[in-house]
Amino acid sequence: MSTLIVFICIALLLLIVLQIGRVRDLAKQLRGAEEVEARNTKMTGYYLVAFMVAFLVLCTASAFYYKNWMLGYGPHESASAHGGRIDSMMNVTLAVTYIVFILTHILLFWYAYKYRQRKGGKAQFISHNNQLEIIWTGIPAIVMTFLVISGLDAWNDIMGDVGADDDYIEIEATGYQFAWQLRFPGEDGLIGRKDFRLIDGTNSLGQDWTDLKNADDKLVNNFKLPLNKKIRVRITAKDVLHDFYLPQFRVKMDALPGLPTYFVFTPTKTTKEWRKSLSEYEEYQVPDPNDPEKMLWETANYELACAELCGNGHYSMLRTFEVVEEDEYEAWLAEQPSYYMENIRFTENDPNTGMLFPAEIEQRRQEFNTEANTALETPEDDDNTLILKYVTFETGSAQLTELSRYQLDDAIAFLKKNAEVKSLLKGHTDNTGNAEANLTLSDRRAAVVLDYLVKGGISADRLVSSGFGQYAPVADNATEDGREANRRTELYVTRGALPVPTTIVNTPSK
Amino acid sequence: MATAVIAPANREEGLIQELGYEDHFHEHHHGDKYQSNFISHYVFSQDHKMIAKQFLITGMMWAIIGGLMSLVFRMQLGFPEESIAWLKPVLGKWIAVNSDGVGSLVPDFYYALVTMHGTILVFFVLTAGLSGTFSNLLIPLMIGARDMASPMLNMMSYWFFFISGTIMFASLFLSTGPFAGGWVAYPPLSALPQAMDGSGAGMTLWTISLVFFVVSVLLGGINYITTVLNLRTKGMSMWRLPLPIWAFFVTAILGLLSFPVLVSAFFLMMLDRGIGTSFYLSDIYIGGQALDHVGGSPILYQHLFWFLGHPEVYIIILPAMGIVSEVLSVNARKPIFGYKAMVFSILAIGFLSFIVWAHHMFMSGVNPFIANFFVVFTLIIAVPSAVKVFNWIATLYGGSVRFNPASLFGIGFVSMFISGGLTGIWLGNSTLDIQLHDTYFVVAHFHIVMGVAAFFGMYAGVYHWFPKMYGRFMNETLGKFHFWGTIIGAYCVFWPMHFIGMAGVPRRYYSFDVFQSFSQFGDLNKFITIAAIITFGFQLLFVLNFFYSIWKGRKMKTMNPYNANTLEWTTPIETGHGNWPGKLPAVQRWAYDYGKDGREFISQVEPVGPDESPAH
Repeated sequence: MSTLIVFICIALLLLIVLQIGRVRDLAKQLRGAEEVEARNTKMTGYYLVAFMVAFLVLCTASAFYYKNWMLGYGPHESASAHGGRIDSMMNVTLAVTYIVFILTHILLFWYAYKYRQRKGGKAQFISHNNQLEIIWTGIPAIVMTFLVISGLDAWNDIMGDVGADDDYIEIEATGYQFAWQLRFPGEDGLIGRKDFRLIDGTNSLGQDWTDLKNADDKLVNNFKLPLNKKIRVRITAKDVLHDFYLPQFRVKMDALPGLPTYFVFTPTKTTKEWRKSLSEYEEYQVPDPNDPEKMLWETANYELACAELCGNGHYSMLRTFEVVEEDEYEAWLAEQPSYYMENIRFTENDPNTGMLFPAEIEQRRQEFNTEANTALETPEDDDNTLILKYVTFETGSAQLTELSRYQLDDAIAFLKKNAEVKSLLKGHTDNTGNAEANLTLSDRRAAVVLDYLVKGGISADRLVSSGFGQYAPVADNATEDGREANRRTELYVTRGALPVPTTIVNTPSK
Repeated sequence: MATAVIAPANREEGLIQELGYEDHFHEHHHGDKYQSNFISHYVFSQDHKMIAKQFLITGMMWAIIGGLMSLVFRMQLGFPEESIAWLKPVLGKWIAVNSDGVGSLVPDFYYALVTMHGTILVFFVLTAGLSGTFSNLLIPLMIGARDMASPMLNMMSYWFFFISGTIMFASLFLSTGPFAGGWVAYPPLSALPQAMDGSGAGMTLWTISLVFFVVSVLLGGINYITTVLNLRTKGMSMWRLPLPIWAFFVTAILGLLSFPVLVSAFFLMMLDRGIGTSFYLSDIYIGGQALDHVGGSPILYQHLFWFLGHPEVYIIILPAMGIVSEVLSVNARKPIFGYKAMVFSILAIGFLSFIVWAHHMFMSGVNPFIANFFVVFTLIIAVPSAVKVFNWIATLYGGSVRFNPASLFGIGFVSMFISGGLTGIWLGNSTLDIQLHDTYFVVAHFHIVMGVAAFFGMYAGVYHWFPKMYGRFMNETLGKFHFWGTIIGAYCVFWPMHFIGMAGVPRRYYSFDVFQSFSQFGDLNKFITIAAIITFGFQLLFVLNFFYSIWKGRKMKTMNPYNANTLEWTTPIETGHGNWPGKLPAVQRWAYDYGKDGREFISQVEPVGPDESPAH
């Protein structure tokens, strides 16, 4: 109903204006067209000049009023090294265009007013002036040349890629509907290969796990960047176009599926410094609408946005980030887990189970040493056994798997270091297959391990091996996990005499 | 059948009877084919004047639809907390009402409205409505031709436009909504239905509609070119053409060369969408699925699109420039200053418009080195544009300027063109574009320079030639209200966007609340929305004035009410088919002898007198 009333009001208003128009035009005819026309012309002339003055004053005043929002002024000073050049280029362009804007508007409206139609007034016959044409072709051409040269000079510097000797950090940003996924390199400083065909539930970017550069890559959402360090962002997209946009850094570049782009920039202002500078401006000394306890400047964050229409959630692709001192950045980065190590390593999706990373070798060595020392220091002889859990064999054979040597080498190092220690090697199997055969197999497996240790330089008289087949399980053979735990090689260490190996043939454990 | 001798109504008509060119037009019988019944007169008309009116009124309808759309999404942007549930009867499911009873636009439909607003205004209103109207109306009348070279193609041009509009209109009612991926329709967003609802059937209809539209533009364009080249009357050399004709001529050439590229881009898009080719698509994982498309480039589409897209903005603005040149000259009672410079700058702008397209793509991922060329050519365009501005200002200098709605809109056009053109110098500079690209600064720039300015040109033309179309004048007082409301309102809408854009706020955002950096302009956004609503109200005043004046406007009593030189004012008030009742006028001079030798105006049909000072 109220809608209807509004429409009726609008219609009535229009009708009234129409009637005013009619009456005025009729009055003009009645009162003598020329006289009315002359008065109208004069009034319109005044209006034009008044409009011009008001327009130019308001334009200038509003620019001053909103000065703090313009590039390079107030809180919007650039936070990146190259941004200053964009801002100063803008100021030069503003100066040039403002002068032209003011002058042409004054002339346009002033001439319209001054040369308005008057009684008996006549127009001058001026058809052209080639000299003038040359002047006002030449001057814009010169000004444009200046703007082109300084603009392109800045452009080519800003958009240049990193040089061969540059010290920089390469990160990757991937846009998708509707968020950004950031990827930071691990210790190798390199970002691994990816392929969209590999994307699945466990691999949101399609990282190629056979590329070992991926192993230490970190996937993060909100992130930190180091101060005064060159950052090269590799920009990609998963589905449609996006645009990597950091408003405070003068960074913007489209993200395209299948066509990586990049942008190189250097942050020059930490978040802390930025907040401090914001605190000086009134517009930031108001409570944050989302967190009324705090002032706007206290909660201010650098933001990553999308600047290319990408679907109905385009306006919501927010990530925030902080710029911090380099050591703080390093500490933060070290805390971020590697996605591969956390979620992929030794799962069915891991193609690299046949090798160990140096970190893993080191970690296992420490683990072994700890366990071995504990075992050695245990007073009760019976507990002096540790399981060599990374020593495994090919199914049904006494052939050591490739990765077993790492732990055996650890064992060799341990035995060399502790020259007084003697050791018993025990082989075990699960209950699959023939018990007799299992016993033989476990015996052979223990012997193979002993052999490896001897080849590694451990005297044979310090070692004894023995097979126990399926008779000494540590877990339930009914489950696959249990069977896996039962297939094991144990290392018994002692400073005293080795027990005489007992043969348990035909002696079932229960 | 001999031509009936009619007593000349004025000096010009007498001159035509005396010196005109007898083409025996009226000895043939045309009556059955043209205007003999309602259908052939008003619907399937082949008369260029009627087709012009069809283009104009259809364009006005579309302008109202497109304008209303912008008001709806402006309300969402300016007043996101206010309920627009009252629009639910019209928009239905596209208004989502939350638990507090506050209705707001669904984001999908917000993007659909933005997309439709752009498409409608750029193609249907400012291309068809502006160029279609005035090229049709003025080319034959101003060059002294009976009609277009091919009236049949001309009629088809309108009806293809009509079909195109019908299809686009139908797409508004799809359950998945009309196309919503932006008027530039960048793939992959536009190519993949799973990327957005509007990229399904909405995009299909959008593409088909625009293919029809291009057919319309090509049929019209080839006709305009042929007519200007071949049907000029005796004595009408190219250097005697009034400036609007030069503008329409170059516009038609631009359209003929660039629109086919757009269609080819659309065809490749259709293949990608329909039969699984990969022109634009590669390495895409969407909707839980890796697509088979490999090897395409989304940038290829952008090149093809902007190869049309950039000339397109000149297709829009050149006719407005031509119209304003004529209107300012006639109303300043002075020759257009620097006629040849004006022609050369039209040609220069037309040529340059083909080699600047990649300035829309500085941040698209093309090699940054490429920008070096495009920055140079883009900023060079500022030179002929500046020349035109200076010439318009110089045309006013020393004149005797009549202030009527047409001349006021002409002056307003120059103001808009300056304001919007100068920000082009910012955006054409790739360095500044890093920050300003795809922000509200761009929105402000192109709305002022090609949106509002082109509308001003169109209004100047409608007010000026309305008597030629309908034999009546539009109401001058309402016209002046309309002018003041529009120029003040338009600046209020678009000027603040410069500041919002410089602060970095991206365009095409449904809501600014997510980002702290962009959320601080609530007041300005409210202001813009209110200004937009008021400005739109003033356009309704124009529509009212237009339709009222068709039937009730002050009648035109003389053939040449403005004391203008050009040939359209030598035709009878009721201009019939063939435009001139007897002989065709023979042209004796250029179109701009205003104030020469103390005479207020000298029509183009008047021979150069023995004592006359030398030609321009």
